[in-house]
Amino acid sequence: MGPDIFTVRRNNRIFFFLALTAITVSSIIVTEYDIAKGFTSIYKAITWSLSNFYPDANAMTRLPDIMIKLQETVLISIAATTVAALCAFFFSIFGSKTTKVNSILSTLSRGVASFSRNIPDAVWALILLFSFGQSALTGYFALFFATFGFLTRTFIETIDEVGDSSVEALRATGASYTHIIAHAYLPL
Amino acid sequence: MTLLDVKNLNKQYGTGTVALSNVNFSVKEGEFISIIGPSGAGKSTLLRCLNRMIEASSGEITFDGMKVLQLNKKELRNLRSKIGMIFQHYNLVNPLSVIENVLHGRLGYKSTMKGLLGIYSEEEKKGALEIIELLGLEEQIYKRCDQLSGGQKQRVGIARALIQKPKMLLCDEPIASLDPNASKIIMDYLRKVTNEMGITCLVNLHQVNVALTYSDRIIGVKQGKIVYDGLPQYVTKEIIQDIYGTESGELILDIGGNRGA
Ligand SMILES: Nc1ncnc2c1ncn2[C@@H]1O[C@H](COP(=O)(O)OP(=O)(O)O)[C@@H](O)[C@H]1O
Ligand SMILES: [Mg+2]
Repeated sequence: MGPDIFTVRRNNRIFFFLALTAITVSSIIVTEYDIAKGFTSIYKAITWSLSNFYPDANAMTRLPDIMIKLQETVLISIAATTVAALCAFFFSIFGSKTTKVNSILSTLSRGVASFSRNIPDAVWALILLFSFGQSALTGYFALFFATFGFLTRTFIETIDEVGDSSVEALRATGASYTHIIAHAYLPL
Repeated sequence: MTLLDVKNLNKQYGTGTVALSNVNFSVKEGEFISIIGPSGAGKSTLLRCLNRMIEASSGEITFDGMKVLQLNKKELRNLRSKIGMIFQHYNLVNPLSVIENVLHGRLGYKSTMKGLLGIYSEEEKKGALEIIELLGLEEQIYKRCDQLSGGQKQRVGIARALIQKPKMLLCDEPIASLDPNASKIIMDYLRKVTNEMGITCLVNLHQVNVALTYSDRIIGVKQGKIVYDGLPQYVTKEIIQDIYGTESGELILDIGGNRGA
């Protein structure tokens, strides 16, 4: 007889908790993070941001500059989202169980998608900032990766929801793979 | 003339369920055959093996001179375009209109580009209109399919199959989700398709009385084996009991008594 499913679950949970603790503790040691200081600094952080981010007379003179940057940001986000949506479309088709071409490609696309989604965009921004410096490209990539991961997951869920019923019908008429994608999923 | 010939067909799902074991039968052109049997007997598996929606484990299937199990990808598309399929849950693309769903039946004949862009010839569109009228759907032609009743959806399903100009229809429980009224309409249409267009029909049914009323021939399936293959007139109470097990036998045959109604 195999081990009881509840025991297995509990052991899994304990293992997960221990692993998480180990990772947390070791990152604290590696980064030399002082927990007590982390909490006492909250007050300082608030006063700092209030005094630095509060708009004053100087801010008005910089407004035109800021507007230009703002416009740039809007354009970057539009570009990043469009390209991300296009990539996400292909990745979701390869990733979804119902439309996948083969299992390896499916697992791979799902993996890439969750990887880029589960890293928050702030972290992407940091990573890219260190690699490329502060530029439009950095912002573009940060937005791209986060949007791409998010959209792929959403698209995959939508495709899975359609289910295979209409796909089955189209397959039975002799429609090819591309026909099925175009006529069963794109109408959504 | 023999249209379909099935020899020693076996299907096992993975290493588990044996869904079909040593199935043998053949179908003549223009026959209307009902396949009856309890749920889980292997009826759906059998139908789907015929157009390779499910791959059989072993055996031989000949359809219209083609060795079905040996076909390559392109030949398989060609085979499927000659076999229409009708489903219990209609399997339409719901956000699309009736006419678009009907035209999907032409995709099996299309090149990649034309099919991808949904380019249909005038002739195909005319054909679609004719079939839609034939099935009494002319008022629904531009409606989205999710706004139709069950009976109407199934008629769209039949239209999509007919526009393929098929030699055979495979119907998997076509009336299992319909009320008696709509069921009768659908069965009448299927019978008409065989009588007037000469299209062979293979219909999975679990309503024995309907099967006996409409069919030229009955195939009884039980646990993946054919246990009856013959005329509906010779289906006795004992045979029904053998197929379905003792308890359900009486109930089903009672309803089957008023055949021809
Ligand atoms: N995809 C599948 N994987 C494994 N077993 C299946 C699958 N589809 C059907 N079966 C099994 O095969 C048997 C026959 O199923 P099916 O052909 O659907 O019967 P029916 O249509 O007569 O109800 C059942 O025991 C069912 O559980
Ligand atoms: Mg079934």
